[in-house]
Amino acid sequence: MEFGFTTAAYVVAAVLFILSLGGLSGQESAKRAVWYGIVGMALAVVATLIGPGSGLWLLSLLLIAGGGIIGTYVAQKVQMTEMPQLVAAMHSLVGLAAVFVGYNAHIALGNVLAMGPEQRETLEGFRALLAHKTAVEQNILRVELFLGVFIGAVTFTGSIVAYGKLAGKMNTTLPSCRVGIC
Amino acid sequence: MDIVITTALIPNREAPKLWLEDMIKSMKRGSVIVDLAAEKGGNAEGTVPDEKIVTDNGVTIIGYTDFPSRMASQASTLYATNIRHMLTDLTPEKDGKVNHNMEDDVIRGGATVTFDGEITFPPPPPKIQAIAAKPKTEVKVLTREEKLAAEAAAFKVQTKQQVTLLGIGAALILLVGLYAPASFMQHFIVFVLSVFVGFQVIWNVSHSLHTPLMAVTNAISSIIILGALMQIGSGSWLVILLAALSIFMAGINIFGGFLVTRRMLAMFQKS
Repeated sequence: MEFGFTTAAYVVAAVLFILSLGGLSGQESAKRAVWYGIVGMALAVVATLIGPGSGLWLLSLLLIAGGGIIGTYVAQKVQMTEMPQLVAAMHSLVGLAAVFVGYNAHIALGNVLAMGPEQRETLEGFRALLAHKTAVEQNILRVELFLGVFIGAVTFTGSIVAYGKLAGKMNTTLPSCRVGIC
Repeated sequence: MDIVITTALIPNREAPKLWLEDMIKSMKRGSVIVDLAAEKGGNAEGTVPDEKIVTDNGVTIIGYTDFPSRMASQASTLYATNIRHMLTDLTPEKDGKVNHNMEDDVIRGGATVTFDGEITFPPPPPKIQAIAAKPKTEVKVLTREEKLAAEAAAFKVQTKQQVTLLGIGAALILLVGLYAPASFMQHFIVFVLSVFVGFQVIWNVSHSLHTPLMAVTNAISSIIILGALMQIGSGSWLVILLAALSIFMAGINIFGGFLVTRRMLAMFQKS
């Protein structure tokens, strides 16, 4: 599949996501809006899987299916009064995933920079993208990775604390407060 | 009804039956009926004068006929408090000497009938109102011209704010464009547009839907799976491991996130 197809699919998915958020202006349109979001997400994931640049697609499918089964089960079993905690807990997973993706890019960049020029020509996929970056682009990438890992880590820890507070499992006093500095 | 108090008495007649047996049967266990008309038979069916009984379904009916006698200590306390405050008013210097201040409304009006050989009853109306009447502030009613002028002025201020923000934002973006490579500008375009569109779209979300909004934006944020999908094919075992974990976690969030949103929105039924 051509790279252009993947980009086109991303544009359609983005439009669907925007419609999904915009549909929350009313209660009936909100129910339809969730379907727009689901279709957009499915389109983006499928386009990436069959497009260039990804590998190990069978493993990816199995992992998505496995995560999907757990997600479906948990979302259906949890009581209505525990919904906010569940959203916070799931969002912490997304934060952690963002941290991992950032780390991976950092590790891969280090690996690619350590290779000689002939080896770089044989690279495929993500590492090929990295190999063709100029010095300025690499620095910009480093800044982006820093921001990505930082924001992802804040999301991860913040969502875990939010889960703990919502579930009543966490003492809400700051640690410093308990020794007198508030 | 959990508590019922009845007080209907007719002179020289039996008290009318107002709270009937089927009503008592429909009250829940632990309810209380205070029947103040018990001395004349009671307003509730089943009241026994001078006694407190409990019906079969757990409702207590109080039929005491001597409530005033039961309030002796409360009555004494209230009266004693009033007398104590009166004595405080009469002896303002706290020296035991009575200062019969005829300017004080309480002493003049409430307690004095004659003073210095003259009859001073009935007293004049009190000088101090119980509640001070506030001077009415004038509510300015704007004329139509003044309203239009005020709206035009507010619009001008808003235009100035928007144009200033746009000017600063445009200058910053142009500055970035001068120094950044073209590939970065492509991504930057997408970023700036998405921030702008997101801002506009979220502004219109109705207040009752803010929790489903949180759930759906969480579900959409699992788009991070695309980054992990791109990375899983290439690199060392560590990269593959972390990417696999990321795909798994994002997968949980995709399915779980949208399902949670659907469950939340299912609660909003058109009534």
